[in-house]
Order: sequence, then structure tokens, then C-alpha cells
Amino acid sequence: MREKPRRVRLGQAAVLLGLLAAWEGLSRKAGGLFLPGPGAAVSTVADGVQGGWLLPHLATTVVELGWAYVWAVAIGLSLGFGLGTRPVLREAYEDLLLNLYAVPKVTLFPLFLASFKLGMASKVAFGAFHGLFPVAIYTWTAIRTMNPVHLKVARSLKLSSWETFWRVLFPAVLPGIVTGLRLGFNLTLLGVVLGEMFASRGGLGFLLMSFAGAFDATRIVAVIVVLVVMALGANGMLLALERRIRRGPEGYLQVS
Amino acid sequence: MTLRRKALTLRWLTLLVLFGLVEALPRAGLVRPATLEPASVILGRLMEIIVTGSIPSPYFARTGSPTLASHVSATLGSILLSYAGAVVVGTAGGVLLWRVPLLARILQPYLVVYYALPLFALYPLFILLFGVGFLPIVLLGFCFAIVVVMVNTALGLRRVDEEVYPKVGRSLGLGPAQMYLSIYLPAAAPYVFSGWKLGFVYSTISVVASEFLISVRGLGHVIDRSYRNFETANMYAAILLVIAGVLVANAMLTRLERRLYRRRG
Amino acid sequence: MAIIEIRGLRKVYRPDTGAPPVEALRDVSLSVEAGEFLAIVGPSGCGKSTLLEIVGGLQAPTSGDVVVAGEPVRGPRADVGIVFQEDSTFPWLTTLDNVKFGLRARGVPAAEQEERARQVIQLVGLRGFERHYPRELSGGMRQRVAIARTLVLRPKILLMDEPFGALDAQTRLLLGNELLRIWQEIGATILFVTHDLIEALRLADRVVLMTRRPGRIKRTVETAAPRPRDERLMASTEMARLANLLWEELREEVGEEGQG
Repeated sequence: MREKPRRVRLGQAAVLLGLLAAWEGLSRKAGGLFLPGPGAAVSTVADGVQGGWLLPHLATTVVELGWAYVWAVAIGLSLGFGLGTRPVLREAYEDLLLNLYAVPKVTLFPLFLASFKLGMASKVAFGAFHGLFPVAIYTWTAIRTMNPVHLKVARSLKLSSWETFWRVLFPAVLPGIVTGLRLGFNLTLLGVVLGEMFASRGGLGFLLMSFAGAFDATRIVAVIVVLVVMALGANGMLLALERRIRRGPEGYLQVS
Repeated sequence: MTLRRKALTLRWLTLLVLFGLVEALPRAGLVRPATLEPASVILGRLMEIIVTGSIPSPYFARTGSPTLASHVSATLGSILLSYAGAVVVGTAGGVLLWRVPLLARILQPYLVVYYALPLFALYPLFILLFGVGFLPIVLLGFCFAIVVVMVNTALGLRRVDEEVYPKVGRSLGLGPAQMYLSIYLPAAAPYVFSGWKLGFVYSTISVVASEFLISVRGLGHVIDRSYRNFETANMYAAILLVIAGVLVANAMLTRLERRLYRRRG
Repeated sequence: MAIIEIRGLRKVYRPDTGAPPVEALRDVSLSVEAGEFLAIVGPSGCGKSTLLEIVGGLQAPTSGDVVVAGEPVRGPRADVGIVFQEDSTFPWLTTLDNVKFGLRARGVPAAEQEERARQVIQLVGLRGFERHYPRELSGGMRQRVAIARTLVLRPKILLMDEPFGALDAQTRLLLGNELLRIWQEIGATILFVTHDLIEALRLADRVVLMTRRPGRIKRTVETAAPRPRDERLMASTEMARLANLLWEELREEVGEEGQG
């Protein structure tokens, strides 16, 4: 693992500080009311926790996110393994799914609303619908690009099906799957928040929209900060997991 | 039956079954018309909208934008504007990242994390800052697309560096401009174009979603309004139109992309 | 006067990741006569490619002199051509355009480009394939394109870095003979890096053996045998003696490391 030279670390810190400073600078120019600076945002978050308007909605979002992700992973892995191990399925459905991935899935939200009605279920389903794609795609790609020679080696060593799966297949495809899990999480979060923004009575997305309606930029920014922290926290953990599993040099991690 | 034939049969069968369900369930009364209209009705409405060029809806007539063209042009305009910006700035940024490896290393964690952030949460903020209209939509689309363009450009150029072509160019005594034009450009073109294709997809997704949430015009807006006004047939027709448009654009871009990769051998 | 003079060449790599420096070449001195076919052999990692790239002006030495045709080497030169081991044909250009590439970059008029390119394509035995793309050609043919692209510029010196390394044994033999034929026609000086001792003995006037890293010249042998060198000649006592000599010396280099 390469040691990050000091220059790079300094540069990264500088970028972070620079962004915060720019934010602060912009907020002063636009007038504190229009665009709150970092300080105001953080204090509003604290207010929100104390004032009680933040935590219930945060809880809603987290619950929806949790369920949506569970479904996304379950469906995504099933699809991924199905299409990865059965060429017939892959030939039949890969193109369809890849195309569906590129389509603005938000246009299908009315379908979810109509099927699941208002309430958590539609957001959970919508979020899962977003997140399952990277999970599935990365899974079947990992299976497909696995070096077939490994399987031949397993056969020549007369490994049982279970051993073949656990000691050859699984470790070979795990890195790809873990990346898919990370990107799937990000998309699930996006789907859940979008769903809340569009039609919901609760959740952080709902807060964003209602504060927009109330012209309350300060609270909007506070909610954004909470979302960013959530996203960074989860990604930090998933990235650490991904690095541990890939255990390679700090190569180029997938962005999207 | 060959694998290919089996797969195609499976695919068409699935699509047929789905179509059949969409047709039968509403007709059988198992699904309310507010939820889903029969497929034939939807397709009919879509045809009607395309042929007459206007959306049959009292709401849209009232708000003075009943024509299909006004919405399509709004959506397309937003997409193209945000995409053009992302391509120009993103490609230039990618070249910069490639030329200055230190910068790339510094920015790497930020770029990796960029798409984890709920960029969409910025939309309500943009609306407060700039008002409802094109600017927040285009701005958000730009933000969505730019990083994927930048990263793919930088990666593509880096990949060329790892190959033998720049060495050949240098051994032939090529000047810097010649190196860029006759070696890096053709060699990196497929990778850079992949980034452009992805950027287009991201722009589109962002623009349509923004229109869906808050806007006064555009196809996303049409879907949203039709939903709220219970004009289900219009809604699904518009959804189909958007999906079809995106699929066609995507297919064309993919064909171009494949041609570029084929030239690379 | 030797056309290539290398004196006390030293090359040290200092990676910017903070890893320890690598001494690729240490005190290499070599003279190459004009028109000579010189082969350079040695264990993996001994720096033969580095040596070639320094002579070709693609890398700068840490210390030492390299003088080509009376001029110290400061960068790539028009009178020095390089052929690389990997397939270096541009996949987005046809054979003809590939060969014309260097001419075009130098501003040679179009008509002359066409004429010279076609001539050289004929020389390397690829007539009829002008409009083909590299993906439609075999590995051996692609290397011919790469060679043609270099030859069309009429270099006085041809540097070849394991040009047949990525090809199968039969193609290697064939192309080796083709190379000799071309060499005899154009009379250039050739520096030919290879890991294949027998190939070196079969093609070259002189064979230089390098030590393992940090590379120095260990041994030089003169083949002094007429060409073409068919199987019978290669099996002659003199050749066998040279081959054995080189093998022994090479084995010393490789054996000490314990790896190939």
C-alpha cells in the first residue's frame, strides 16, 4: 500500500478548507438569509435535533433506506447471480436491464405510488428499484469476467460444489460485488430521497421540499448537511470494506 | 435450439407477458384506471399526442402550454445545455487532471465520493436561490454530469500513456501539438467518448427528475401534472415517450461508442 | 569512427513514490561500427531496453556519454529509428497510413509520402496489404508494419527492442531472415536486443552479453560467420562453442539471483 506523501494530504486538506471557505464567502455575499454559511448550517442542525423537527424525519429516512437497501441487495444479488451463472438468462435480459439502468427511473415513480400508495412502502420500493441495478450489474460482470481457469483448477483438485463456491468462486467475485454494493447504496439513498421529495409526508426529502415551499434556505441547508454526513459516513465504511477486500494498491476506485 | 434463439424467445416472451398484463389487468377491473390504463389505450393516447402535437388535457390548455413541442423543446433544451457545459468543462478538467498527476491524487477521494452525495438535495436550494425556471434545472444537470465526464477523460488519457503509442510518437520526433492530435486524440477517443455517453445519461436523468419535482415546462413536468390530475393515460403516454427517447439516444450513442472501440482493434 | 559511442553509461531510477532507487545500468561502454549488426542479450531486468531507449533519446542517462554519428544524444533523432516489442501499430490507421505516419509528421509532400511508403511496404513483404487495418493482420505482419514505419524514414541506425519477442517461434525465424535481407539491402546499423541467445548468434556480427542488474557488459563475442546461417552452420563447432560460452556466462548471471 503506497504511503500518501505529505504533499497530497496537505493538498486534500487545502481543498476541503477551500470549499468550506468558499461556502462561507458565498453566504456572506448573498446575505446570510439567502444562503447560510457552514456555521449557521451546523447550528441549525443542532436546533433541529433539540427542536424535534429533525430526528423523526431522519428516522423515517433511515428506516426507509435500510429496508430499501436490503431489498436492493437481495434482488440485485439474485439477478446478478442468475444472469451471471446462466448464459441463457444473460443473453435474454442483460441488454434490457442495462437499458433500464440508463432510463430516468424517476418517471416510473407514479407507478410505484399507485401500486404501494403513500407511505413508506412506495419509497422503499422505489429506492430498492434504483439500488438493485448496480448490485446486479457488478455481480454478473464479476462472475462473467472471472478467469475460467480457476474453475478448471478446482475441478482438477476434485473440490466439492460447496468448496468450489466458497473457496474459488466467492473470493474471485467478491471485489466486484462489494463495489456494486457501495454504488447500490448510493443509488438507493438517491431513490429514497427522491421519493420523499416527490410525494411523502415524512422523511428528509419531504423536509427539503416543505422548507423550499416556506423559503427557509437555512433549514434546507441544514438538512443537506445531515444528508451529506449520512452519505459520507456510509460510504466511508463501504469504501473501507471495499479496500480491505480488494487489498490491492490504491488503484482507481469506481466513481459511478 | 441454440442459446441465442432460446434467449431471444425468453426475452420476447417476457415482454409479451408484461404487455399482456398491462393490457389485461386494467380491463379486467383488477387495477383501477387511476393506477393503470390498458396498454392499448396508452399507446393510442401516445399516438394521438404525437400526431396532433398537443396534450389532451384541460389543465395544459388552461396554462397555455398544450403543445407537445413546447415541452419536448424545454426538456431537450435543458438536457443539451447542461450536457454541453458538462462536456466542455468536464473534458477540459479531465485533461487537466491527466496533465497534473498531483492534482489528480489530491482530488481522488473527493471524486470517488462525489456521486455518493445526494446531489439532488441541491435542487430545492437552487430553486430558492434562482427561482423556478431553467437555471436550477440546467445547473443541477451540469453538476450531475460533469464528474463522470472528467473522470473518464482522465482515465482514458492515462490508459494511453501506459501503452506504447506515445513512445512511438516521441521516437518519431513529434512535437507536442502533433502528439495530442495524432496520437492521444485517436488513442483516447473511445474512452473519452464513453464518458461523454455517460454524461448524457446523467444529464437526462437529472433534468427529467428536476422537471418532475418542480418546474413549469418539460416532459417531466407533464408526467407530474398528469399524475396529480389523475390523467393516467396522458401520464403513461408521456412516460413512454421519455423512455423511448432516452433509449433511442442511448442506442445511437452506444453504436458510436462501439465504432470508436472497434477502430482501436 | 564508430557510429555509436557509449562511454561509462549509468542509469538510476528514482521513483517518486518514495521506493528505493533502482540502478538499471552501471558503467556501460560500447562501440558500434557503421553498418554493423549488433545483438544485445542478457537476463531479464538487466537494462537492455533501458540502454536502447537511452541511445534512442527516449530516456536520459544519469551519467556517461552517448554519441551517435558524432553528435551527443539529446533526444530522439531523425537518423535513429526505434522498433518496440509490443505491437505499436496504430490500430486506427491502415498499413499505408501507419507507414506514412512519420513522414507526415515531418511535412514530407504527399506524393513523396505515397511513393516511399509503398516502396518500403514492398521491402518488408507486405505488398497488397496497404489498406488493411492492424486488427486484420497477424502479429508478425504488424511488426513488419512497425518496421516499415521506421525504415521509411531512412534511419542510419535501427534500434530494435525484442521486436519478435511477442511472436511465435516460426514467425520469429522467418522475420529474422527477412530482417537480414532488409539489412543487407539498406545497409543500416542495427542494435538488436533479444533474450534469445541463438537468435542473437544467428543474426548478428557481434553479440554483447550483459550482466544482471545493475547491467554492465560482461562479454562480447564475434560471430564471424557467413550468412545465411542455416541449421547446419548453427550446429557447427565454432557456433556451438560460442553458444556454450554465452550460455555459461548467462547462467552465472541468472543463477546468482536464483530466478529466471
